[in-house]
Amino acid sequence: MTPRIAVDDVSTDFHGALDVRAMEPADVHAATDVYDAALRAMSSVDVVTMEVARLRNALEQQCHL
Amino acid sequence: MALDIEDTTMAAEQRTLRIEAALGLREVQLACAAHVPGRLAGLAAQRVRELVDPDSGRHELAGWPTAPDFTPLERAVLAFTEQFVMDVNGITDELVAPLAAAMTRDEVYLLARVVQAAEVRARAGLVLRHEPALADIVAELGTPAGVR
Repeated sequence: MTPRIAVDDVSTDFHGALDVRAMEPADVHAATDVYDAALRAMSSVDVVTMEVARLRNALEQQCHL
Repeated sequence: MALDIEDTTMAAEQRTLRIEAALGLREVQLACAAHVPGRLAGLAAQRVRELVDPDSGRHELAGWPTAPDFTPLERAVLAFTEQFVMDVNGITDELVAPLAAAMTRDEVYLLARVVQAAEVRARAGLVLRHEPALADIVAELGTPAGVR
């Protein structure tokens, strides 16, 4: 898959996934960290919540440009 | 429709955690939107709401293809948003190219994050019904016209 935006300066992990944090300002970093922490905290809550988390993860995986 | 959860301490804690996550995603959307030029983020979030939760309000943006009120870049953002919501795998080079030509790399990425967050919030709101109306968020994101 060829990126549609310039990512030459963005590093990738072992699996080839982009480190998108390089494209985020500090305030977006901070907000994302809070959100991720909240998601982790409710990881054992209930089926509905987990479904929402699953949907969120699936969308993030598909959020390719 | 509300979730039928027993009023126990654990249920209350669970609800708190869900609200924290919902508010967290709201903050992510707002933070990303603050770095997207003009009213593009607001338009995208509003169109997401119209598509995902059509009963939640008026469809003011549904007629964008023929309405004279939008710049070429706003039209490109609305076209991108609609395809993202309907089938993200259907995003084409042609849909992204006008965004990449008019905005920086980071702005394009952050716009996509706005659309993604707005979609998850709208869908989660349909399921959990504890999110504030997306219309309020659109108002928060709204900025005067004059998009480059």
